[in-house]
Amino acid sequence: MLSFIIRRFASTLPVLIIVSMLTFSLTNVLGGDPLLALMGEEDGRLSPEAEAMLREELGLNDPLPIQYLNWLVDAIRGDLGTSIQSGQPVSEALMDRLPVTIQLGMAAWVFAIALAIPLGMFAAISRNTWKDQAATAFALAGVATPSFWMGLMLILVFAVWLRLLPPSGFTNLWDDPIDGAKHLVLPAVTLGVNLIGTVARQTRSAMLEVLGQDYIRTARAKGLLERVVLTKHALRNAMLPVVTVLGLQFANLLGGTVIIEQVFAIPGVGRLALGAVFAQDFPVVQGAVLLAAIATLAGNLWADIMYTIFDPRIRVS
Amino acid sequence: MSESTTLAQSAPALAFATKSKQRQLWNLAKRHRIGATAFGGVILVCLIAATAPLISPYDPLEQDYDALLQSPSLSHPFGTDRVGRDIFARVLYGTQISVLVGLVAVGISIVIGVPLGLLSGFVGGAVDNVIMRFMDALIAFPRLILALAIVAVLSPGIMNVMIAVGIGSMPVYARLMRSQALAIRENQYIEAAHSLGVSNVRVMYRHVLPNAVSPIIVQATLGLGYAVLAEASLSFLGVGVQPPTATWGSILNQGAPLLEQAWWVAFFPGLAIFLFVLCLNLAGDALRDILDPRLRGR
Repeated sequence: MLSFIIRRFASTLPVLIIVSMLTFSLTNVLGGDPLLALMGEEDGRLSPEAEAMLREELGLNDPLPIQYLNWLVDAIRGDLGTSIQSGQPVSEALMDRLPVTIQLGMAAWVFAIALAIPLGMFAAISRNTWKDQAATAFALAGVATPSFWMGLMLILVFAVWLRLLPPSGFTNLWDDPIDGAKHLVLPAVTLGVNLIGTVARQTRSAMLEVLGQDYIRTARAKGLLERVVLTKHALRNAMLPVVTVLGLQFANLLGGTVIIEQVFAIPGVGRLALGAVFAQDFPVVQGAVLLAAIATLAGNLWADIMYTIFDPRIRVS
Repeated sequence: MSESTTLAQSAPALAFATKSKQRQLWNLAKRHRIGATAFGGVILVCLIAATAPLISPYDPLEQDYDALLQSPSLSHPFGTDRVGRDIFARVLYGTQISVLVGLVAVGISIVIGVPLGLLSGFVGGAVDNVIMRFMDALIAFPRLILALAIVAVLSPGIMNVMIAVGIGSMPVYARLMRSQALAIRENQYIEAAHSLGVSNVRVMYRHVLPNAVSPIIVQATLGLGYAVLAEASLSFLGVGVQPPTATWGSILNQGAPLLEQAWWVAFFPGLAIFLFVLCLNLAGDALRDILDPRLRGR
C-alpha cells in the first residue's frame, strides 16, 4: 500500500511543477510589471535610480526562469511573499484562515454525503417510479441552484423570517461547539447542495450497474435480507465511482467556499482571496490559487487511495 | 430520362423524407418529454435574449425615484430596486449577457480544447504526455478560483469573464476529445484511410473529429449551464460584468444587502439563473440519452 501511495505521489509531481509554473505566470507574466503591483500607487513617487535598485534587489532584472526558480525555492520553504495590503506574510495569512475553510468544507462534505448516498440508493431501488423521478429531480435542482442565491434565500427564511439561525459570521467549533455549529448550518447546507446532486446521481447510476450483477442475484437467492444485500454487497461495490466523484468534486467545493464565505461573512481563505482580488494584492491571490490547486491534487490523491481500499485489484495492477 | 422528370420524381421523395424526419423528431420529443420541455425553455430564453429591447416594459437603467423598492405588482411584476429600476426589465436584459457569455465561453473552451485533445489522442506519445500533464495542471485549479484570478489579473469586464470561464473549462473538452480520439483511431476505417495514403491531419479532421461530435455537443450543452453559473457567480462577487450593465449576478449582488427590506431584488434573478441552468442540464441529459442510448436511464 505504501509503495502504491509513493508511486501515485511521484506521478503527481510533474503536475505539481506545471501548477507552480502556471501560478507564477498568472501574476508575474499576465499581471504585468510585478514592481507596479508591489508598489501600487507609491510607484510613481520612486526616482528612476531607486526603482532600478529595487528591481535589482527583488531580482526582477533576472530572466523569468531564474525568477521562477527563486520563487519556487521560497514557496517550498513556505515563503509565499508578503501581502501588499496588510504586510503580513502570505503563508501566515493563509494558515490563519485555513482552519475556518476546513471546518466549512468538512461540514458541507459530511452533510452532502449523508444525504446524497441514501438519496441515490433510494432512487436506484425505486428505479423508474415517481420516487426515482422525484429523487432525480431533487438532485438535478441541486446542481442547477446558484449557491449564492440559495445562501441568500436560506438567510431570508431561517435567519430573517424564522429567526432560528444566525444570518452570518463564524465561531470556531472548539471555542463554542453549539454556537459554532449554529453558524455552520446554513453555509454548510448551501455549499453541500451542489455536491448532493452530483453524488446522488453517481450513486444511483453505480447502484443500478451493481444491482444487475450476478452476485447480487446469488446473494438474494441465498435468502439474505434485502438490507444486507443492498448495504453489504451492492453499496460497497457501487462506492468506487462515487469515491472518485467525491475526490474530483473537491475542487468545486473549494471554489464554492469563495462564494459561501462572502455570502455568510466567514473569514476563511476564500474571503481572503476575494479581498486580495479587489485590492490587487497579487502575492495573496497567488498564494490562495496555489493552495487551492495543491488541495485539489491532494483530494484526487485521496480518491485514488480510497479507490484501492475499496478495490484491492487496482493496487495489484 | 429528362431532367424535369427526375425533379418531378424527387419532389415527393423529398417531401416524404421531410415528413419522416418531422415524425422522427416528434417521436423523440414524445419519448423525452422532460428533455423536450427543457429544450423549449432554452429556446425561449434565447428568444428573450434576442428580443429583450422589444418586450421589456422599461429601460433597465431608467431610475424612478417615485418607485423605490416597490414590491412586485402589476406595473412592476418583479418589483423595483433601491433606485427605482424595474427588476423585470433588468432580468430580461440580463438574459442577453448570460446567453452571450455562456456561448462565447463555451466557444473558447471548444476552439482551444478540442484541437488539443484531438492532437493528444491521435498522435499520442510525448505530445499526448505534454498536453495532458498541462491539462491535469489546469484542472487542478478550482474553476471558479482560476476564473477569479484571471479576471483579477486581466481586470473585470465582459470579455475577460468570457476568457476566464472559457479557459477554466477548456481541459474538460480536451480530455473528452482525447478519449474519443483514442477510441476512434482504432477503427478499421481509420486504418483504411491510412493505407490509402491520407495524411494524418486529414484523417484527424475528416474522419476522427466528425465521429466525436456527439459527446462534444452534449458536453457543450452542459458546459453552457456551468458558464452561465460561473458568469453569475463572478458578477455576484463584483468581479464580473460591471455596473450599471444588468446581469443576473450583479442584480443579485445589489439585492443581497436589501434582503430584509426587499427580498424580490435578489429572488427573481436567482430564479432566472436556476431555471435556465436547469433547462440546459435537462436538455443536455436528454441529448446524451438520444445520442448515446447505452446511457439511457442512468
